[in-house]
Amino acid sequence: MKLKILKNTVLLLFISLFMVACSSKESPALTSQNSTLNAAVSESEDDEFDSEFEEADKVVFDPLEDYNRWMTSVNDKFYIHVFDPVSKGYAVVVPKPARVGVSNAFHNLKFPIRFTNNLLQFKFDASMKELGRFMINSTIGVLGLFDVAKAGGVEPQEEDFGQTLGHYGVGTGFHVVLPFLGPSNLRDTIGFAVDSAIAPTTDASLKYQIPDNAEKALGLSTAYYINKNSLHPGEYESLKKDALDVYTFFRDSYEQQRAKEIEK
Amino acid sequence: MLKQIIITGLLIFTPLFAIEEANIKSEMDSKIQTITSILQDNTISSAQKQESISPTVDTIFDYKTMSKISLGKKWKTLTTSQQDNFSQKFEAKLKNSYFEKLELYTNEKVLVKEQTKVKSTRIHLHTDIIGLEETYEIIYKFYKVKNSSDWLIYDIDITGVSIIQTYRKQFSEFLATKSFNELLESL
Repeated sequence: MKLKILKNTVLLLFISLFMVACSSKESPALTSQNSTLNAAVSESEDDEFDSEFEEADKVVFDPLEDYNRWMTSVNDKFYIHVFDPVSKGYAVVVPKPARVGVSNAFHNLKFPIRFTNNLLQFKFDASMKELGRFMINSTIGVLGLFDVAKAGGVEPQEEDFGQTLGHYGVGTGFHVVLPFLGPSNLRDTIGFAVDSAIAPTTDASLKYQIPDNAEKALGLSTAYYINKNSLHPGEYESLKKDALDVYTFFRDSYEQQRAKEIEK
Repeated sequence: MLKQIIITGLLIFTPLFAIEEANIKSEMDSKIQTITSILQDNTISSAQKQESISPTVDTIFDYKTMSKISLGKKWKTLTTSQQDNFSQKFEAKLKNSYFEKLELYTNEKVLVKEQTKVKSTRIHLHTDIIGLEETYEIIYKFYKVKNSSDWLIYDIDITGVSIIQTYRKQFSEFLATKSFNELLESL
């Protein structure tokens, strides 16, 4: 991927984001909880639950619904018939400790994303923790294969550019299901593109980036997702069974989870 | 064998009533220890595991309230028998889903962190499931039962996703185009 094209795409997405950002202002349960706190005495138990869960009663702005549903079923078929069998086969060949090592190494390589986004949100403590983790895990942890920092009590400080945008009040935009990658929204898609540009595992012609062409970058990220899935067997199928409607189930779960991550 | 006897003993003496505020953390801690030790026992089948775990969670999960919240405004429009019918099916669905998730358990450590009182009638108990490469936060949400000092679980947050809110959304979307009876059938 050429950096220039990426830049233009990001710019375009940005403009369209701000046009729709207003239509889906986030007002999570927090504000409603505060208001119920004051009215708790006079309010009945049922009303209290109703306001706590009012987020679920809102109608979701979902202009891409038809496409999203189609993409969800394409992804689902791809997962069941291609991706999952491949990662199962991989899990047979590669022992679990090695797969955990690979997962740790990928996570370690994505350090610039977490570090930069913590900085962008002025979370200096968290950035320093990330820097410390990166230095320790890259050296004592043998190029990140072992998460020795975590074992020593220094947990990773997950942040990405989607969260940074959310932190500064950018709305989610509409929901969009990405090919292969699954549920996302306009804001997080932009976030993903920006994060990818600085990640060492992609190719945007930055000096420290490992792949030197798009094919290698694609290969590397495929390896990442296969390895990741091999460590979570059966999870997707098990979650899917909880859904009355698979598309809205994953859409709402995703948006809830992201809102929580941004709150942190 | 001895382990099973001890576990069964533990289960029998687990009090069959809700938890008081001061005991939430310690009670939940011991319940979670009980459940993980059952799950780690390779000598019993998964059906037996379910049977042993069920009483541990039934005393603190308020399935009736969960059913009520998950149906939202629709709940009040139902007759008592419809409500009971729904509660029964929903309880079975929740349990099924819960036990299926437990099947995925592979010796992860569970850490009971802190309990926070978010308001006078709500307490959140934060726990971490520490996997090989990731840590998942699970929050058990308790509400104070009216006119008593008992607390029961009405919702669980798994990595930021509220189970009951997700069901509430699913049900309301389902009922927007389909009937209540169809919902019952699909559960």
